[in-house]
Amino acid sequence: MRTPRVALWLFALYLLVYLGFMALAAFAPGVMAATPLAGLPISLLYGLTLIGLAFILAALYLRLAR
Amino acid sequence: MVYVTSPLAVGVFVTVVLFVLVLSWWLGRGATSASGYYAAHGQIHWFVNGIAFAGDYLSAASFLGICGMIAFYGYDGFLYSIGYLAGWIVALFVVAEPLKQMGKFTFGDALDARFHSRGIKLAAAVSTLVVSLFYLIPQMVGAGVLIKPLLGFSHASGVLIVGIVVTIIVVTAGMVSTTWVQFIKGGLLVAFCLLLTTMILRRGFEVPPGLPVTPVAASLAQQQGRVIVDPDWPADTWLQVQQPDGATRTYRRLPGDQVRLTQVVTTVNGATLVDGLPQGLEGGQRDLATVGAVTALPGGVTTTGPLGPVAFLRTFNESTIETWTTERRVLQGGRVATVYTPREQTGADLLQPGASPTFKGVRGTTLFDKLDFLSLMLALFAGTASLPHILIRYYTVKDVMAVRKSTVTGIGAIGLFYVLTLYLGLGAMTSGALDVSNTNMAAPLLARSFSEPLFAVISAIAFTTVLGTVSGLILAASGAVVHDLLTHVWGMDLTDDAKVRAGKWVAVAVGIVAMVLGVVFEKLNVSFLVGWAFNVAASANLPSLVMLLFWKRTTKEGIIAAIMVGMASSLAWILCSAQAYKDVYGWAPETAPVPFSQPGIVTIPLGFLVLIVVSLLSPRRVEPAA
Repeated sequence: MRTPRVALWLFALYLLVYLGFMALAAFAPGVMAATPLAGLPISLLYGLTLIGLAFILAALYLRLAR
Repeated sequence: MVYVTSPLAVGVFVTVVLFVLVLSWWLGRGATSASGYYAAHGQIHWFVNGIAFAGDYLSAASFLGICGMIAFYGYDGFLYSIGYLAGWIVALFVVAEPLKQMGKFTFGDALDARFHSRGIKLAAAVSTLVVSLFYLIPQMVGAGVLIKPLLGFSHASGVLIVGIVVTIIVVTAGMVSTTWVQFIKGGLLVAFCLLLTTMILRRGFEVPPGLPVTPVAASLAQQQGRVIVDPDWPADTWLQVQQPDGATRTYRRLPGDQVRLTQVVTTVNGATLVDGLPQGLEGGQRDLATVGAVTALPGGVTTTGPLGPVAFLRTFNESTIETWTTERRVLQGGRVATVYTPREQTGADLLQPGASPTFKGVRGTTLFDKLDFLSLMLALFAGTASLPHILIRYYTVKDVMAVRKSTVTGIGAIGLFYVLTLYLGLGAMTSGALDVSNTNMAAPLLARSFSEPLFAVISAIAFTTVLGTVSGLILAASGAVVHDLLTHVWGMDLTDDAKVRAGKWVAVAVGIVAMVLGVVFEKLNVSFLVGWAFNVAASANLPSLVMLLFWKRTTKEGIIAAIMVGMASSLAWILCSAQAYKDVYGWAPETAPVPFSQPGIVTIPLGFLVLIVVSLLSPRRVEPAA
């Protein structure tokens, strides 16, 4: 009944990024509207990053926890 | 809107349903033992199981609800996509592996692996039943929503067809065939969304001729016919003009003596009028116009031609889009009018959170307004790992490594799908094909703006989506009743055979309850109901799952109390919320006793707190000599 330690670290990392997203959306709407890259607003970039990061961390976990 | 039934759509639909039924019978014919029925003998290949995760998870609400929400409100629908996917991180990193090692068939098994307590089995079974039923309601409503325009049947017959087909699937075959149904449907869904997205990108954006509609002078509108004086429509806000053809045009007054034309649907004694004429497509009848268009593109061009995936989003962000607001007005004599008013919104505004009624609080000034948003995002994050029909899928593969691989496969497929929903939703928003009165139809109607056969196929896939998710839920509920309640709580000594037979009877019973609920809750918004199901699942199940894994002092009393308190408090909060007052009971939302509608941010921590306090107050458990 053990969860590999690396799983919890990866979880903590993702949680932090997710909480950052919630905080920006709720308390810094101006930042979310900025368009720093390719003319896309932070709201979209951050959202897509959250989706991509989930897959990257999951794939990374497969390699690390062998 | 009135939908014309096409023989092609009916043909495709019937073919798909028959295909799924025959396939599930054929694939499931060997599953006679209890472990075969509930867990597919633990022999499903990890890749099949991974895509089946996507099939289980991408429910009618995901597909129809999220596409519809993005199509009407932009970014707010995408917030659901983000939250739903993030939840898988909790499932993979925290819950999946220990659960796989501890359990056999059900979530109750896993929780109870250390304690052998009837109380835990009872609490786990009750929470599984409640969450499954809560999650079933939107699926059944979604089925009715789909079948109405597709086949021209009533909402109730749509719900009945789904209920009956699903019950047959579950009774004839159990987990093996359910898994294959999910695999096929999950694969089809992602493949066709990819196809649709490609078509959207190739089409690019186009400003239709005649747009943007500029407000007209009130005097000009009045010349078209006879001005109606009606106390229901005060003249300081509204201008109604009876046209020569008998229709009534309703204008909303703007500053500077200008007016803007709206579309009005009135219901009186079960009859529906559109702009004052009976709803229909014949002469003397009228129907809602389809909507959704770009009114201005960057650089003043009228068409963009094919766009890349990044250029599509950038162009949208720099465009202006015509969106429609909805206002319900109760008139004299029990009549209800729904007024749809167009307005221009910048793409940049639509790509920020807070444009929809559900999330508008995030742009509010008080903390309570924002809490509603934070609470829902938290519930989506924590809810996935607590959904019973997702949890049981961990028992259908061989070992922990297979659990990991299939979860990663699932995350890949689901993540890709959610990125695609963004394109589907924004594509639908600018397709000119939207039904202003039905957000859930955005994705199928988008497909119809390309071609009729594509519409038929997408609708059929959406329908199998409902079938797949509902069968998984019914199976989870049936497993909880037979395995946890009958065998362990009431101590019935059932043979394997008897377990499977009892499970099938329970599946029939749950199917009937689901059909009744699907008919009763016809009017409720699909994706909103799912948000509530996530709240209840996370509040009831997550605290005990997590604490059992990471806190040695957890006792059985603590677990039972946490499940019961989490479930009861989140349910009570939802029933007392402003949203329920408005949408379920039809009462004034301001009179609701709780300050915001999503309970998660309060009831999830409450579950943890109850577990810790009760565990500390109850006797330390004796470690078995191992």
